[in-house]
Amino acid sequence: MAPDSRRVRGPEESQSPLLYVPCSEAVAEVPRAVFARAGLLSQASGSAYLEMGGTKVLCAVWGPRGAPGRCRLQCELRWAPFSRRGPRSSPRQAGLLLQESLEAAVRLERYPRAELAVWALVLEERGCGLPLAVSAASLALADAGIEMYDLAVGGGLSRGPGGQLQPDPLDTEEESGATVYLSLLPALNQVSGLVCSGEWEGDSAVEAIKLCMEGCQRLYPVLQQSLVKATKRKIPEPQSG
Amino acid sequence: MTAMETGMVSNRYSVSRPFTSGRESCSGMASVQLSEAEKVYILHGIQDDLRVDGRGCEDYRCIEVETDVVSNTTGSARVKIGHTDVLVGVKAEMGIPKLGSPGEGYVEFFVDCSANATPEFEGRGGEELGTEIANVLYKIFDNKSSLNLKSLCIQPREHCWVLYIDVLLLECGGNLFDTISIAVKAALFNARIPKVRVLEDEEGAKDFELSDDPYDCMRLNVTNVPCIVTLSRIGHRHVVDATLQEEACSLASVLVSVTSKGVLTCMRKLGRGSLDPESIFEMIECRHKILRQFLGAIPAFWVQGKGATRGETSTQVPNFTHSSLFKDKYMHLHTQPYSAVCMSLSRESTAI
Repeated sequence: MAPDSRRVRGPEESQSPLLYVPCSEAVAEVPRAVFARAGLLSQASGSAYLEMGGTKVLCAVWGPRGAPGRCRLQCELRWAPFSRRGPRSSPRQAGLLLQESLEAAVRLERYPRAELAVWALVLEERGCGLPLAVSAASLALADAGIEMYDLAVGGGLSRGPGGQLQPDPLDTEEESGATVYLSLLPALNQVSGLVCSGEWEGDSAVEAIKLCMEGCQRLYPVLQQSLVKATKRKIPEPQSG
Repeated sequence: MTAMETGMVSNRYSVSRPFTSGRESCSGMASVQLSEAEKVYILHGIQDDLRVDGRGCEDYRCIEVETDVVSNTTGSARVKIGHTDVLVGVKAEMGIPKLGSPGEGYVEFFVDCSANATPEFEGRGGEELGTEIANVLYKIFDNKSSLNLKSLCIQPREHCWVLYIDVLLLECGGNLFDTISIAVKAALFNARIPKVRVLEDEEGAKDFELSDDPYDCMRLNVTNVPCIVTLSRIGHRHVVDATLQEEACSLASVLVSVTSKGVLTCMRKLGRGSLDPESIFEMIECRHKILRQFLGAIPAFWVQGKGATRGETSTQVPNFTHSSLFKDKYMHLHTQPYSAVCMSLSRESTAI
């Protein structure tokens, strides 16, 4: 059989080189630096860009546009193919988690027979992609002028091998063990989304959720500020005199 | 009280909100339509700790577990809770270990929502619910302690057992997640994986020898396999084991998966409402009470049963006679009178 000239074929017993890549032992600074900007895409109804540490999320909101039935929040969360090392695809059904977190924050009953589309894209993932996408999406919804009860602010936390709780973990820390992702409506003090994985003994889960909520409360003013800035940019200064 | 709280959390006024159509989360897929009066009736009953079927807020319905029901599988179980009926089959097949974990086997889940359960599942209708349940199952098994995957490895990097766990929904009567998790646990308990010997000749070529004796098998330790407890927030209280009607009244529920030691392995909020942090803590705390009530009865059989007492993960079952292997095991966990769990285990030893 003629050899396949189009590709270089490795030896029969070959492994992915990624198996031998050493994990970086980086430790996240606490708190990680946050950059938030709303209203940067000109064609979407609303948009937001959020950066925390090395994690970068871009989110666009389209709508409300006509659709039959009750108002639907159509959410999609994708990870860019180059977002992280290794051939890892998007986690399953991330859009559904995003939807669950946002639905409690948006006044859907104000938009009958309409549809809101939320597209979030994680450009670069260094941990906490999902909670950051929740914050970015609610920022974009607010930027689009959608009526909401409150901003849904996402927060993440992981437990290291020593049992210490690390807020806003890096991706290497996330893989090591137990994680909590939470989305909070800070003004109302309501939890709109909660995903917990790994093993949590005794009351450690309660403690983790409380710490996560504190992180959300800290992020809240940053998001509010960026919203104010975006609104000021949109509305021209009133002419004096 | 803010608009948010009245509309979404307390549920007291939520009856006026449109509940129908749209993508409801999970159990909402097989939802029923309730009138406002019915909802208020259920809500008021729950406030007084008395549900429509006479249970208290933290009582399960009668749980029926039947193992070894499908002969073509490695292990199978059928679980009924009220009108919810679930059939789970485990099939063990040989595969190649995943790159990330060369010394371990792995588990694959597939949930089939049959149109028998509700006409909404016809065609591709049940797909979304199916993948959601499968994802939750992946998540509760995504830790080191729930299942010893190392015991499924035959040869590192080359061969391992892959457990395909197929869940079939026969009937939906509320509380799908709990029922499925019990059925998965029972089916894994029932699974008998044939022993494999690896023979190597002088040139290094490997050959497998599967034991001819069907009773020469390994069994899985299911002591740490978690069960899901779904707590639905209705009004100012939470209920376990909600029926379809009760699920229609609930805007948010918390799914907690707990092992028999009370360790949380997964937690998720379901539904489109939001929850007060205090009520979440209350629900987490409540697991101990439920564990005593309902898990307490199961390990009596699953831990002291034939398979798992023999120590660790994959012990050989010596002197396993024909009659004891193919026994028709039928377990009946009954919540009499909806509070105390008692278990009757009838073992008809019909030798084959």
